[in-house]
Amino acid sequence: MNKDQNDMITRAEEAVEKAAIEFTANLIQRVSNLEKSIHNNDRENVIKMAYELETEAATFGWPRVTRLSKWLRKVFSGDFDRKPEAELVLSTLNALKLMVSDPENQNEERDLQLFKELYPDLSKVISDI
Amino acid sequence: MELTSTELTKLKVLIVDSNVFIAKTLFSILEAFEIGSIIVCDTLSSAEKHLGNTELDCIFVDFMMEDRAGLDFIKMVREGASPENEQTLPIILNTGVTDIDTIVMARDAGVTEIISKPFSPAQVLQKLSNAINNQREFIDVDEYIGPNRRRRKMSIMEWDGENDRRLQTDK
Repeated sequence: MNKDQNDMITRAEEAVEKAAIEFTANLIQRVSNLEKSIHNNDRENVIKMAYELETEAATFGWPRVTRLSKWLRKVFSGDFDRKPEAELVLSTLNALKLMVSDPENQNEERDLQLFKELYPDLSKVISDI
Repeated sequence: MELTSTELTKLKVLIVDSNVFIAKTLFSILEAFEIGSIIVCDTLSSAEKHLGNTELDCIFVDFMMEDRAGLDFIKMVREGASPENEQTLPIILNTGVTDIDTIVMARDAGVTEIISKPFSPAQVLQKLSNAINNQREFIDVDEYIGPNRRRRKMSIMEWDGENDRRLQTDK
């Protein structure tokens, strides 16, 4: 890669970094909106919000948030192997809320642990999680 | 081979994504590459309008938008619905959904490259360069229209008998 290309990549990475800050700043509100839609049983909105959160979290380095959002999207799309208990949906939502509770200080270790605890039940509902 | 700065400045790219935030991020990356012209559409209907009246070099699309109607948009390009653009127009699928079914669906719809999120600027440059500079043979047969889905050369003899589907491409 020549100098021009390196400069170009650096500029682009700076732009992504700015977008990541914006994403982080709105994370708590986004999960809260998702929670409201779940409680209102607004299926269409849940799918849309979960997909947006899933793809953005993937882009900005929140892998566990990505996977829980994916799980919620698939559950509300009816794309599951086994219908989940309401309690599991709530536990997933609570884990998601905890993961984004302090977005400035992402706690990878805690998030991984939370995900590991939920994984056996989540994977019974959707094997590809 | 990666596109040079000069080549990038001449490109006209369309981004089709209903997620405004992701579209904005991709726009910022392409802007940093000094791409000549970047059009952003958050609905398929506006994307179809641009496709019909703008000559493009590449499209970035997320087919999960509008209940997977993005897939029909890709097929529409491949079927040659746009007078301004060739069927061979490079299409890069920009997706957060990377399960095997999705990838197969996208491949069968005729996408040129797939960028799975998280995307990095280096990955975007590499896929864009690949889509434009290393175009694969274009197949146009009854069951499939799009770039050859085989990327690797197999170490087996090429079929040289009758009924070679590749020869039907020039119909």
